Amino acid sequence: MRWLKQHSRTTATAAALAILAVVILASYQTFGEDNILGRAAGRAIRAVQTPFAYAAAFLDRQSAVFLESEGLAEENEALRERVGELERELIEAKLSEADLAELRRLAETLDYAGLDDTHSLVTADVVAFDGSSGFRIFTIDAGADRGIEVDDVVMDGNGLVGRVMSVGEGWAKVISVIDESNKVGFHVFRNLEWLGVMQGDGEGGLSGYMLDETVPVREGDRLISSGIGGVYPKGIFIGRIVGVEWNHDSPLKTVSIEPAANFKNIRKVTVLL
Amino acid sequence: MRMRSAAIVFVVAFAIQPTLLRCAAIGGVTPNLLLCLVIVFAFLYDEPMGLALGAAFGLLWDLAFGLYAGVSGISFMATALAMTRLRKYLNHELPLPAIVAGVVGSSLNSLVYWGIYKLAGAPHSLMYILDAQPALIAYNVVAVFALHLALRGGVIRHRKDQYYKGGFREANDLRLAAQKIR
Repeated sequence: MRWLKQHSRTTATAAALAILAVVILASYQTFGEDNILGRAAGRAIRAVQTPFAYAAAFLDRQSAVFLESEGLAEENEALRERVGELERELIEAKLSEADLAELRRLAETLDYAGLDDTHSLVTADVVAFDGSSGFRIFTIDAGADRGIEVDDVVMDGNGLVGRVMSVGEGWAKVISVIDESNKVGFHVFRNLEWLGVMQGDGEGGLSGYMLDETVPVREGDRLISSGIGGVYPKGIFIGRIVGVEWNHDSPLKTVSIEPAANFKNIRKVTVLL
Repeated sequence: MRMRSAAIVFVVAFAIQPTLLRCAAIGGVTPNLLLCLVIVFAFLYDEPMGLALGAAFGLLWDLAFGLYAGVSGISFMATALAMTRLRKYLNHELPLPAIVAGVVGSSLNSLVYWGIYKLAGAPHSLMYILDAQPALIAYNVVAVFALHLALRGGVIRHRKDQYYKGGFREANDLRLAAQKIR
């Protein structure tokens, strides 16, 4: 006891480290899920950060005006959104009735609850993004008040971004698909019968393998989510194949995938409710 | 600097890190302002401000942006402890040692942060983390250098140091005055 008093600084440091270790373990057990403490901290943090977030958005707009005329910036944004819409329309058109019927059978087998007409979209701005670590976790300015829930899917104009990790009033925390080790099923857009499974490759991209190693996938093939697995519904553009390799050890046909979303510069996203 | 003033500096850094600082991102990389403050406070001051505020704001940061709570708190504490050790061997008032502290602190923080996440099953490889390090370390060192320049004037006198009369500037003035007398 006397030693503890004599070395109060060391004792306090050790106690703080022990408390933080317990917090990490508790957080790990719940896989970072939301809790009362997290929501309370989230509200307080958002209150402090909101004015700065608006200032950042203002600076963003001003820099766009400075670099290119305002009209061009708006036109660029509108075109980007239009391209995203067209991509989605193209994918929906490609998913023919026959393919959908087959997917439904497959989905029923795997107990999958897919998209239906009740789903809607919420557009939100990215208000906080930490670019100082390798992880791509960010905060958007829409939350439970607009119907967003944990595990809702997040997309940008280019394709799949990730999912909602935790949510509060007016904010939601999003984790990118490249930061997760969860497996996601995909279809090759060129032939929807070609199925595969992918996950974050630990290098800021995605990698996966084809379920049938004989399918002739090639670089440039576009991939869409298959809906198998439950979190990500079918038909969302994921990215393009940038490398195909035959793995002799597995043996599997592995693919390297370049994600469609630009994770380094996300400004606006759409949440699928 | 008093703990209260230091806490205000941390609050401001916490608010601008994910918001205003995004405007200064180069290739998607921004300096870690909270880490830079932890490094500078732990390196410059004898009081454990960097350690305590690093633990508290690291935990808050994780609640706001992290996957698991507490990881940044531990990595900031490890960095602060390393800086406390480093200041015993380097002159903490000179700019060059501050740059060394910036490089060591930034690298150590990234390694501890990645190591804990790796233990928890994150998919990121060490090579991926190292790949982003040169840009991140360079950016952090610039921030550490600037913060060190701004804060070193406020270094308080060590209780046990009978010769040390104030901050770096005052010490420099005294040195110049002594030269004139000679």
